[in-house]
Amino acid sequence: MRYAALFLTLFLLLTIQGGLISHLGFGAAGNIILLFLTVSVILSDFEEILFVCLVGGLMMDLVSASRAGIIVVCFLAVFGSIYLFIKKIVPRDPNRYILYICVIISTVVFTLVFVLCNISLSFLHLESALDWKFMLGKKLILDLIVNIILVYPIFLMYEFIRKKLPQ
Amino acid sequence: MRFIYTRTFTIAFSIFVGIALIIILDAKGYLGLARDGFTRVYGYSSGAVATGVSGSKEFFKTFFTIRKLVSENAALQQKINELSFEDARLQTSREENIALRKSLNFKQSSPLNLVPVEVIGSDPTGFSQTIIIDKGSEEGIAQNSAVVVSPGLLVGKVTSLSPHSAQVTLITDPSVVVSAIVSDSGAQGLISGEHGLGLSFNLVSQNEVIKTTDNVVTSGLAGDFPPGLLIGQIDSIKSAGSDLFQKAFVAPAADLRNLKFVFVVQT
Repeated sequence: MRYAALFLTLFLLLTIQGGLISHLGFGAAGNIILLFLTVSVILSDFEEILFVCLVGGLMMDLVSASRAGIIVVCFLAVFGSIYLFIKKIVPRDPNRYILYICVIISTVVFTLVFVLCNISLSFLHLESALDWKFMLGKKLILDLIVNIILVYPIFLMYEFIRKKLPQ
Repeated sequence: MRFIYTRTFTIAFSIFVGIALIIILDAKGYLGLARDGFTRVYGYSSGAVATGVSGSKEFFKTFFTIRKLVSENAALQQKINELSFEDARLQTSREENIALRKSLNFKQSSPLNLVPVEVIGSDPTGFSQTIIIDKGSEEGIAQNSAVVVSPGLLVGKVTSLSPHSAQVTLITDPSVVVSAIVSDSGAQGLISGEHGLGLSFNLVSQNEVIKTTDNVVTSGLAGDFPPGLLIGQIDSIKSAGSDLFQKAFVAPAADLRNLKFVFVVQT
């Protein structure tokens, strides 16, 4: 039941991402599933984070133009980096500053790993090469801005779902 | 206990194998059906969200108009409210109807062999400028086919095929390069995307005369796009005397952000 509700939430977020957020223009898309994952890593247990990583990543993989599997890898890298940050560097109760730092880390790690995966797969002729300068420059900055704006609504949504979900 | 017998290792290994399998299966084209099914559900739901958003926009526009009218004639307020709500609801249907009618006329008059398709979604990551259409290899759509809207405006090309859906990379994506010609002067060059922000017209010889508002069309020289499809209009020119080539920025002729119905050109 809990995982079914999480699945539906992820699908709803994907729908909003595709129908609304990705049409913001100026090359900025943000990523509300990534934000949901970031909030999950801060507030959830291991199994739930892994579920969000794998299912959310696979959902995005199936509808994105990139090779399936890349976004799952990016989400796992984000999971690892945020998990390390929360457990080893700031081992204290999360607050808003930590949330915003986590969003910055997750956006940077996601883009970086995506670009690295793309470069690796394009060497193997499994993917067409992206313009990594644009990805790590203008797009990263725009995505950071959009993600920082959107993270608090996603955090509130996550809190709401957590209260409603059976433990 | 050795690390390879721990639960952490088992989970990490399973995930690694799973991801490797997904990448290989996708490269071999075996994920087509999964992509098809999920894309269709996603496409219709995200389409509904997009329609709802545009409907809300229209509704609030109408709402503010009504506020002005109220001050002029309070007695008609109720009537206007009802009509405005109805208008907002029907706006989307009307736009679809107009697009379909235009498309039908274009199909009858065009010499190209066209397959009408509906746009059901777009890439949610924003890393590439792609849309998803509702027909695939089973309906005769071929890889690298040109995609147009009426009346002959180039949109992009088919870059990925599933049995019942396909991904179209728009001309505003930098991975799509189109051999183009200026219809007035005959100057030739290459059009490439600027990450959804427009198009750049490169490798135009310094001897050629190009000016703003000139139309740029496909030349057909590379063989990937039929000749004569309108790409856009020259917006600005960047050229220094010391440069080997001129560069121009082109505004796409098609409204690439609001695509609903498009045509795939069959070869």
